[in-house]
Parts: sequence; C-alpha cells; structure tokens
Amino acid sequence: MRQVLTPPFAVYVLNRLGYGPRRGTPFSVEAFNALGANDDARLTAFVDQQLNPSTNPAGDVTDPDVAARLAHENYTTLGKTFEQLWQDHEVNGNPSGGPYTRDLPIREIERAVFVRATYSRWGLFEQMADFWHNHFNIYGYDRYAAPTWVSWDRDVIRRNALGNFRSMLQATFDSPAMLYYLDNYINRAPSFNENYAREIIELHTLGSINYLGANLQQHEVPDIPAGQPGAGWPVGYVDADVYELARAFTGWTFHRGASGGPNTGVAYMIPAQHDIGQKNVLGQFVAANTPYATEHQLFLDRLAYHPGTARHIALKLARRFVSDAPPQELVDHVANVFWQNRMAPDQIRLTLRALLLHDAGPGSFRDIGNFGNKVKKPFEAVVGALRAVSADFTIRRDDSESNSFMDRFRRSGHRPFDWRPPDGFPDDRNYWLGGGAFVHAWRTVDWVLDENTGSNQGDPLAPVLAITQNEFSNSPAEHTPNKLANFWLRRALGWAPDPVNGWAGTPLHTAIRDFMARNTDTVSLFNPDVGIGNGPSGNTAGLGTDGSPNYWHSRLRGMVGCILFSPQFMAR
Amino acid sequence: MSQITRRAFIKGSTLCLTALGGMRLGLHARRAHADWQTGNFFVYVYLRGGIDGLNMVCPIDGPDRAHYEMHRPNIHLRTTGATAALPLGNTHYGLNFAATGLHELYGQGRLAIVHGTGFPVAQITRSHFDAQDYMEHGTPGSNTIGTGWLARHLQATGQVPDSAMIPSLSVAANAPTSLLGRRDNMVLDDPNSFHPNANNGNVDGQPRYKLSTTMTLRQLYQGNDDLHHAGTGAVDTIELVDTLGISSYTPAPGANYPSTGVAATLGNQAKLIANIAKRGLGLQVATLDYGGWDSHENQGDGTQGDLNQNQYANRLAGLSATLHALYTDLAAAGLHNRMVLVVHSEFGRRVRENANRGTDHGSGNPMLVLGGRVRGGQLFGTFGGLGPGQLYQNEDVASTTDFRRVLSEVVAGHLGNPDLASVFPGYDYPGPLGLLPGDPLFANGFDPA
Repeated sequence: MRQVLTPPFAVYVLNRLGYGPRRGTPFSVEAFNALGANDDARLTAFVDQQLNPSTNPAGDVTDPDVAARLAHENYTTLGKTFEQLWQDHEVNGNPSGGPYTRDLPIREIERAVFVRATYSRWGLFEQMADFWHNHFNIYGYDRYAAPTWVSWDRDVIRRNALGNFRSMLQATFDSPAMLYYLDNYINRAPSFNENYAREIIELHTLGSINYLGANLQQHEVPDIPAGQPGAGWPVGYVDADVYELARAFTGWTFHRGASGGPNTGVAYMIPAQHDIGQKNVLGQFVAANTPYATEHQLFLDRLAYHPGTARHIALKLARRFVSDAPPQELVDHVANVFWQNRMAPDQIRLTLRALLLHDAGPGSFRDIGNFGNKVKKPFEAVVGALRAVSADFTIRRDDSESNSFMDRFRRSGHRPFDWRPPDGFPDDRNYWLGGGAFVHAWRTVDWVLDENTGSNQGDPLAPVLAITQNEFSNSPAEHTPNKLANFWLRRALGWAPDPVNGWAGTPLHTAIRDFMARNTDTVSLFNPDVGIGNGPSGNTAGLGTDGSPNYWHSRLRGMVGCILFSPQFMAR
Repeated sequence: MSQITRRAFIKGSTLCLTALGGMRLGLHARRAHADWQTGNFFVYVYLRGGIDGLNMVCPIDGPDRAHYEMHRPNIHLRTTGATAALPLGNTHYGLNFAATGLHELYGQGRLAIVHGTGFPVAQITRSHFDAQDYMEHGTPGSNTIGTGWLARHLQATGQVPDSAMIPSLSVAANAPTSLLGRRDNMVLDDPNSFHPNANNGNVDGQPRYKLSTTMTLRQLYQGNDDLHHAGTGAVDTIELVDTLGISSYTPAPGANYPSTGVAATLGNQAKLIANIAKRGLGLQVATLDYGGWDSHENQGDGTQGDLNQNQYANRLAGLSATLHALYTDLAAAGLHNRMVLVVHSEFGRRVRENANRGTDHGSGNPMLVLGGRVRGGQLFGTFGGLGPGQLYQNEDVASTTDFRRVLSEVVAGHLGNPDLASVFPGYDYPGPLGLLPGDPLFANGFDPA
C-alpha cells in the first residue's frame, strides 16, 4: 500500500517521462493540460511531441534554453568532433591543467547532463539518453572514455537514442571507449579475452533472461518453433556462444599509435590476431576464412535481431518507465513492436510509443495506479527539485558553486557515469530507498536552496524568497505558516488535492506548517495563522530577514527543503 | 538523549516475510538457547567482480603445481624470491605474497580458508550479475524471493534484542541485496556530514535548522510502507550518528587501516564497523563491498617489485591490510571472539590465463573465514585439482562446497540461529565443516530438518 496521495495525471506523467514539471515551460502541468480534452488525448499528444524533438541538421536534439546555458565559456569541448577530441585530449592530452586536459570531456558532460535534465523541454529524450548510457554502461573516467566522452554521449548515445538499435549497437562496437572498457582492444587469438563478448550478449542484447546457464552446450539448446519471431534460431544462449563470439572479436582493436601506427582512435582489425576458424553464434554459422567484417555483421545482426533481445529491451524500458514488475502483456506487445521494426530507422521511437500508449489494462503506463511504485533516484530527486523551485543555476566546470554541488551530490552514490561495473546504475526501486541516496540527495538540494551569498552565479541560485514575495502582499499579516506551507506545497509539487483549500488539512501540510511555526525551543509552536513579523514576542522580524533568533529567511528555505524531502516528492 | 528515546526503529521486521510462515519462525526462535551469549556479530565482505581465488590461494608443490604453471605461464605466483607465495603451514598451498596480514592471521590460527566453494553444479552461472544476485538472495538459480539471506537471518534469529540500536549496518551509500527487505538496516557511507542540512550558517554548533529538519522528516515519514520506512531509517541514522558522536573514533594502536591507495575507502569503511561494534549497540550483521576484481587483463605476475604494477596484488594487499587492521582493532577491545568475518565473491576465474595476462569468468573459489573463535590455520573443503579431468568443464576450479554450507555454519554456530530453513530455503544443510568449535545448537541434538 502506497501512502502518498495520487496526483493529477499530468504530474504523474511529467515525473515519469522526464524530471518533473517546471513552471512556464513546455514541460509543465499547464502545458500538458492544454494538449487535449482528456487525459488519454493529452498523453497521446504529449508522447508524440516528446518523441519528435526539434533537431539541428546533424540530428542533435536542440533546446534554446539549454543551448544558451551550455554556450557559457566554461564549456569548451561540447562542439568538438571525435577527431578533435582524440587529437586534443588523447594525443595532446595531459593529466591536468590547460585546455588539453585529458578528462575535460567527461568533466563537462557529467555536468552538462544536469543542465540538460534541468532545463530541456525534451525531458523524455533526456531520460532516454540516461537509459542508453546505463544500458551500454562505461565508466566515464576510464582511460579512453574520458577524452572521448563528448562523442560517446553525442554520436553514439544521443544520435541513436530514438533511432535504430542495430545502428546504436554498431556505434558502440566501433567505439574505442567501449573496446577499451571491456578489454576487446587486446582480445587476441588464440587465447582470447571473453569480457566484451560476454557482456555484449548478457547486457547489451539478449540479456541474462535468455542465458541458459553454464551446463548446456549449443546442440542441446532447442530452436524457436516455426511461426514465431526468430523461428529456427536457438531460444537462448549458453557459454559456448560467448566463447565463439569472443573468437570472432579477436584482433578487433583501435588505433592508438602503437608500433608506429596511426593514433586516431579508429577501430580496426589486426589480422594476425584474428581467429580465422569457423564459428557458430546463436545458430549463425560462419565458415573459416570469412572476412572479419562479414563475420561481425552477421553476428551483430543475429544479436540485434534475436527476439530475446527484443524481450530484454522491452523489459528494461518497461522497468524504467512503468514499474519494476510490468504486466507481461505489455512487455510482450512492446517486444513485438521492437522486433517487427528491427530494420526501421525509428525503431526505438516506435517501441517507446507502444510502451507509453498501448493499453494492456491495469499496470499499463496510462494507469495512474502506478504512481508511487518508483522512487526518485538521487539524480531525479535533485534535478526535480531544481525544476520545482525554478532554480537558475548552470552547473558547469571550473565554477566554485558547481564544484560544491558536485561534491555533495557524489556521496549519494549516483554521480553520472560513475558506475564501474558494466551493468549500469540499477533501475529498481529497492536499491535507491534510504541511506546515502536519500540523505545526500537532500543535502545537495538543501545546499542549492541556501546558496544565496557570494555566489558566482545567480544570487540566489534558487529564488525562494522572490517567488514567495511575488505571491504574497508585503503585509506581514499574510505571511502565516499555514499560508506559506500551502502555497509552497502547491508550487513545489505542482498540484494540490483541493481546488479551494489546497493542501490545508492534510498531514503533509501540518508537518510543513509546523516546521515554519516551530519556536526556537523546538517544542512550542507559534500560532500558524499569525503572520511572520506580525506576531508575539520573538516573532517580529520580517520574512526576508535572517537574524537571530528566528532566521526567517533560512527557515523559509528550510521549509521548502522539507517539501522536497517529503515522501510525496520522492515518490514518482 | 531525547533523540534516542524518540527513535522509532521498526523492530525485527522485514517486508515480504509473512509468507514464510509465522508458526515455524516462532518455534525456531524459542528453540534458540535462552542463555546464548549475545553480542556475537558477523561481517560479510563481498568482493564484486569475481576475485581470482587461484592467485590468492595457489598450489606451491605437489602435482597441481605443474598444472598451475602450465595453465598460467605468465601470471602464476612464484615459489621463490621476494614475491614468493606465502606457505600455508605444511599444506601444498600458499597465499599471495601481497596478503601478509591474512597470512599472519592464518599463522595465528584465526583465519580459515575453504577451498572450492560456489554454486551447486546445476546452478553454476558465469554471469557476474546473476551470480551476485543468486548468492545475496541466498537462493541459487533464483532471485525472486524478495529478501536477502541476511535480512531473513535477522528476521528469523530471535537473537536480536529489542534494545539493539544498530542490529545491522551496511557501510555504503546503498544497501546490498543480502539485506534486501530489512527495514532497520543502517546504511551509512561515512558519518561525517551525514545529514540533509548543508547550510554553513551555524546556530549553537549545528547547521541552522538541522534539528527542526530531522523532526519534520520524522513527522513526514510516519507512514507504513517501504518508502516511509526508508525515510525513517535515514532519520534514525542521522540522529544516531549525531547523538552517539560516531564521527569521532580512534582505532586501537596497531590497527593500521589503509588510508591511501586502492583500499583507502575500504579501510575507512572497515574502521566504521569497528567503531560501531565497540559501542555495544547490538550490532549483529555488517556488510562491506570491495569491487574491482574483474581482472580480464594485466593482473600482474607479481615479479615486479612495485605493487602498483600488479593491479591484482595491489588490491589484495589493500584487502589484507584492512582485515588485519579490523581484527587488531577489535582484539584490542576483546571483541575478536565475537566476530566472524567471511570474504565472499560471486565466482572464481578460469584456470587458464587469457590473451592479456588476465583471467576470464570461472566458478569454484575459496571463501575466507576470520575470527577469534574460528578454527583457523587450516584449509577446509576440497580442492578439486587442476589436472586433466579434474576441472569443471575442463576450465574452472570445481565447485565442491556449496557456499550456503559455510554461511549456514556461521549463522547457526556463531550467530545462534538454528532456523536455516528460513535463511536458505530449500537447502539441505549437511552439517558444519568444523570452522567453529563445537556447535552448541547442533551438539544438543537439534535437528535442522
């Protein structure tokens, strides 16, 4: 039983398909509700809008607010091509200092993702970029990932995020960051190194749901029956498929200037290190001496087009957007759409559309009963909070505010691209419940709310006082704990249970109001209907002042923080 | 201490456990000896990535030595010189040269090694993520039970008194799967700055409104579902860290936790376990994770003098130093007899080295068991051999001892919980290996079946 209140459909959708509503933008409750006459119509219109973001001629998703913020001089690598990145940060790269620092690209992207998630109108696209980054997880500070991360993020992940899965798989297969991270760059005949071959099957394509264990051999695996997708292919994989694929990948590496060769980062084959024997991966036979490019194409096709891959991707997408235990009928439907469109250039867009709009009864995406079955991960909680309070904070490199922010966020266990094993950050609810995930996400939000003096950026980063003063008259009599709590609950959560009374009368409102009304002895309460600066002894200074004993301005920000730390906000 | 009295730890309950049958749980709990010495605790150290156990404990003579050198022409441990394997008594095996701390504990009879542990053959998997999932759920071949094995132990044991403030502790940002479903598990990465108030405007030595914030959080998370329990747990931790002054701790002399290098974080985390264990807060289970063992390349052959050139040995040295420091720290407080620590990993690695002086995924692997009561200085289990026909699928060290057997002996013989059927459902425990001296529960004729 979920003990949070169920919000309007718009709030549920905006928290699922992005990072929560931000007032006055196309990704807001008002904008969503203007899209149609009822929730079903609005959902369809919104999903179609989000699945067709504006792009530049190169195919990169564009957003004016994000572009303006990332144009800041502290971002220097985002526009570089792969070749420039390689030359500047790998060939000429140095450990630290100056414009050619090796890890500048990852340092900029790990901060740019906050800017994009916080300000982009294309929330669903940002969620999908995050999804694929985790699906094809690479540790961002890895040796060849760090200097090329701008290209990995842009050319491999984002350009394919709504496109064709087979194309994306190819791009990862050609990436020096991936070939290094999973050790294929030194995978050589005859002894081979299975790491990449195993993970490309287990994590990137078929998934362990289609792993039949260590005890079966290929000839013992039954075939998919006639009349079904993939008919005649083995139903799943065994370790022998991993080993055969590892042999196929032997010699596949990238140019890094070894032995006088070029230093370009481009993937290539060293024939002398390639196993030229015959191979069999998932029923795809390749004769001895087949050219490696043909061999790779056939095997990657088999992996990408296997119906087990469709089931795996469908299940992961459903877990990301719907619930940890999505309805089987929904997963089957989505898997079928993925498989039927396996050659389509917009395969992933079509798959996602099916996931979000297909009605498979209770538990489908449109079922608002799903609200609360996911919890905000630290990144979602912090970005969602920045959006909820209309923060004006461009997180960037070489900026003391941004550094303070990142230092606090890191301890939540969810620093972007900082998951070292290849399976990516967990998507399941249980993993993120409590502990450092909660406390350090909250601490990061609290820091943003309080950062209002001496800031390099806006002053303050989060305009809590200005928003409050804009809402209320200057009369202190108006600034009652009851009214302040009610206003900010509606403002930060994006809705209220009662059109007239708002959140008044709910336990959540009582708790928030009590924070605002609690005397400095932490035991007694001021009258919650008496305005701040208008009350009894000890309660006489105005809301914008921040002196002893009541520190009203700090208290107001603390109250907003408590709303953003509440279960109602953490649920999604 | 008002915060302590307000704390509302949810006593001895986990989610999703009712299906296991309250009747049986109650019966077992009553059978636990009333005079069982409370205060025993267990530390579960999980090495993520699959440690190459064969280069932790390797054959140094006998017929397997030649097979070992043949399978590992570049990365085998030497038997002579500065990086020679450290002989384990008069056995045919030696410890990696980097594990000097562990070797000392073995020599003192405090560290036992169980050869060839892993899954039952039918459930062997060479997937990291499946293997970890199955092990931490305690259910080989399945990950659907909904609770971790340590969570089920804490639920079933009857040995967690209501007065226990911190019955279990995960030193990490997030709890591991072995404690999945345990509501009152303390999850703490570091006691410093573990509270939501980042404001630098201090009032009375506290960040402004810190106390008010925790009071409000407690009010907000009063509900009765997992989200609310998680929030309450976080607030409990915040208050306990503060009230007990947990961020202030000085280890005993001679307990030299690593503070630099690959094990700096691990050292700090282990120190927190000792810190909390010494405070008498009812700690019974603590977990610690140490990753980075997926050594597909350049494990290092150990012949270079600089440990930094030997990634594997360097990492192992960090583990060894950390465990030695933890043991020393606890022993100084007389708590070494209360602790049993198990080092576990999802699988061993292939016997044959790969193309890159590394090793790929395998199966059977040693487990380490450390503690004052442990019958250490001995090898347990069966090493399946490295010769023709002895390897699993001609590739891996054989899995000859179910990992649940080792853990069951600790659960029953050290933690005093006879309800193994709840901890490892479906497991037919064949009885103790003898890692611990006389198991009073079973000696008294208790029938686990």
